[in-house]
Amino acid sequence: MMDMMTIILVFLLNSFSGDAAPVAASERLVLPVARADAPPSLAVQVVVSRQDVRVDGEPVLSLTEAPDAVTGLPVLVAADATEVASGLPTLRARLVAKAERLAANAGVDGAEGVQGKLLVTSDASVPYSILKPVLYAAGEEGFGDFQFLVRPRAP
Amino acid sequence: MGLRRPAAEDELNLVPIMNLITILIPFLLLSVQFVGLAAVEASLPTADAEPEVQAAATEPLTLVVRLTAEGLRVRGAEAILGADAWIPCLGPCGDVEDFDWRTLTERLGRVKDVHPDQQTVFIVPDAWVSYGGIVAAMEATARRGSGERAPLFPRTVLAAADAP
Repeated sequence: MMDMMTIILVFLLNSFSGDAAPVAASERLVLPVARADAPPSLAVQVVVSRQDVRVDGEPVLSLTEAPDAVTGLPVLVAADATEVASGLPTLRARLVAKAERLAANAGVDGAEGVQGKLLVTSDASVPYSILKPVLYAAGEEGFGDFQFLVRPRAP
Repeated sequence: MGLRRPAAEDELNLVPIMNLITILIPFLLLSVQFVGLAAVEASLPTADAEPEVQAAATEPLTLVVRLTAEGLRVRGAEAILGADAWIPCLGPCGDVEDFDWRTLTERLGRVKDVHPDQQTVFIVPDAWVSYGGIVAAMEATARRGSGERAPLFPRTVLAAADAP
């Protein structure tokens, strides 16, 4: 009995180790499906749901639905248009703080591998009009290597 | 003598460690991630993405795939594809499934056959295209058809027609 429990414990602990990034799961996100087998690596995480944009769990931009000026159909837009027009300063400040913290931890195990990397977790239906300013702002703050999170397609 | 003999029959008390393990195992089982996740990589055409941009500069083509409201357009390889550089939508072009990804992969395969050293593709989606559409475009441009694993253009640069 004791032997069996020890084996199970070691197996479970081993399955938790490795370089894969801890990814925040959310019921509000429907990830796209794609052929991909590379696990996400450690990186600063940006999560774009249909409700908001978050950097490492902290909300930086609220999103809402509004009728399109041409078609009248509801489209996803930023709740605060001035935030986007001014270049997403809250998101930039959060990323700058993250970059400074990573730079301060340079030499600490794993910190250097994270620098410049952004793990983008987005709902599949979020339009590029929302993603584009987020990605470009991140790129201008030094996070230009993107990993887009997907659900791997069954082989 | 009053010396106590080492009792061979004295057993090690394993109850505390078994209690601990019994608590740990359900906790770890509950934390197991049963849905596997994967990542596809991309970069931006900025100075921060220098390796990709520099690589693109040394490659034979500046290959661009535009995702528009009418369909897919491959730029930079018109000499190879001719009129086939234009791939209209299968349906009303309002969703990811309406784009003809299979044809895009086949036509990019023809480009790859002519320029096997080409690694980079620029993907330029219209503003309405969803994240799912962008990922589908990356999938269609990265590898050949479903049965084959041969790479097409695995280095993706995500660009915008009107960068902010």
